[in-house]
Amino acid sequence: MNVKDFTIEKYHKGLLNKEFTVASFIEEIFNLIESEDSRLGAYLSLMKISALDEAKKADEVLAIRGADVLNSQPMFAVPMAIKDNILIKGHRATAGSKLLENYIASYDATVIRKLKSAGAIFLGKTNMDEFAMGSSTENSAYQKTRNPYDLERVPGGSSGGSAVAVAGHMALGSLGTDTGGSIRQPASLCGAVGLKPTYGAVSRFGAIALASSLDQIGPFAKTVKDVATIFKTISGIDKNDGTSQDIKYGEDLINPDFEKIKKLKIGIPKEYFNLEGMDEVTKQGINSVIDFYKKSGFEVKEVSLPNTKYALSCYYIILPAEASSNLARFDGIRYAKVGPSTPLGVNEIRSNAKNLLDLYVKNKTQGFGDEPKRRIILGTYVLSSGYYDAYYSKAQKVRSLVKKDFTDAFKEVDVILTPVSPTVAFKIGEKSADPLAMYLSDIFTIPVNLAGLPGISIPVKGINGLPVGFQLIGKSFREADILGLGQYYEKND
Amino acid sequence: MSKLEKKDLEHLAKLSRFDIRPDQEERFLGDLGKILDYFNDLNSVDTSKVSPIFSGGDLKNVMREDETLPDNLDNILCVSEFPEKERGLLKVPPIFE
Repeated sequence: MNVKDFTIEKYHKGLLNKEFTVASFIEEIFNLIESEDSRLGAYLSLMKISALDEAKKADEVLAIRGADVLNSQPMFAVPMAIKDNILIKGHRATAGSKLLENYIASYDATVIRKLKSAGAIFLGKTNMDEFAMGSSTENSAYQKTRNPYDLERVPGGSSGGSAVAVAGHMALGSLGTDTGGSIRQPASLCGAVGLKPTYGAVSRFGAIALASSLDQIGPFAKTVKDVATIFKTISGIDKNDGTSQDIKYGEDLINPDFEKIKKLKIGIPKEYFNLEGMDEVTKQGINSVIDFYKKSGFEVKEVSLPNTKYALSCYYIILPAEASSNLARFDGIRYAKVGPSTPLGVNEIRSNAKNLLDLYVKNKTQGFGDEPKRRIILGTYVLSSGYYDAYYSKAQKVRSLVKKDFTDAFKEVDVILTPVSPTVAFKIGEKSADPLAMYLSDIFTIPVNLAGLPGISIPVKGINGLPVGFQLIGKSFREADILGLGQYYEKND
Repeated sequence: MSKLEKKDLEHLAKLSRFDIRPDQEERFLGDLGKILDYFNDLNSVDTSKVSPIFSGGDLKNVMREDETLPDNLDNILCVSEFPEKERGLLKVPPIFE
């Protein structure tokens, strides 16, 4: 058995045919992590003891219930990696920040609770840009994560660790968070499938918030079908997230009716294709996908999303505004347990602090990296009196226009097809000195978050070299459309 | 729109509750200046007849009774994360000197 050959679907078939045990598979994955992850840097912490323990228990359940448990629980015993801003009770959750170096989660995020009851096994927590602020995972306070296709290049971000865990075969599935492209862009750059669900489809309870009106938790996996399986498990209404919605997703989410899928109309937004700085291989890749759908008999037509060019400005006003408020709670007290040897010197700071304010300032000054500081300053600025109308209020109105563009386009088509990232994976260090250049790498994914829609990144087939992903954007809560269309692409040539 | 000056940056840092090191100031002013310039493209959008939205979805208020919930293990574990505590409450340095 070579764990590199497996998808979730194939893994379950293997268990069904008793080709291997859960324990032997999980051990094999940890062997791979031990040999590969010192180079790739996907994981920040491993949960080996609990994972192997869960694996043994899963084998016992399998011995008694056999096929029955595999058929009724599609996530049973599936080894998963979790982004380090999602809480697993009793385990560290750093969000890639030194400020949370000693923080141990005291409860499970709703998605974790759901995956646990579905039988999934957690392998560890993955690296990310600090507080999910970044598009390359270079802003992590802990380590660099490298692209499995070229170790000199970034994996994308902010969920770079979760993308590499899957693309590097060190997990069969993983969870990330996507505020402006943080699942789809690293999926595209690493050749994995990544889904940003509709706003409200998945509970955000237990995810460390970046921008609450934009954040969603979503899955990575090697195939569209696997992504659909994870998504179906984690979705649903939750009393702990007032924005979560009660949507009854059907079986067609995982097993689409391709006769129905073939009737979907696909829109190509012209504004996404005349961007300066889009590389040739990406352009060709996306065109090959458009040709595929045309040749397969799909109705493909041009649509217009005229306010796309304002989405980036709009997003980089709204996100810092919300982030500056969300990150205020990280005051170095509530989420920073004092340890005997904390590198931050929390004890020292505490004993030297003149008063509470002084303690805040000392902790935040040392705990936050440059990018969170930059965005908190920016957010504080756009919200401050005198600038509120010019920036924040203006951005909320432009957000309304961006959303209306999609509403209008969806009167003509069912799904919109676009690139995910304007370029393939860039070199480590190439954009880290220029925040604006880094922000531009999310230009095709940001509008989807502003409008609250579902979007998926799927690898373009037949690319030699660095992966290219294409994006399918669906109507609200119509994940079944983009997942079905994605499976159609995967299954046909 | 106006240009961000050094004194603005210091004021914003104060509001944000952190210090910016003197060697970082120049770089931050440069970065933020470029980003704020980029935002100028929004001036060309006519939003006079547009209502703002605050989320991509349709949000409704979700209410519940204001009642104390019994202590459970999660609460106890949460308190155990406090750096200093007294009778189950968070202990912090004085607010006034």
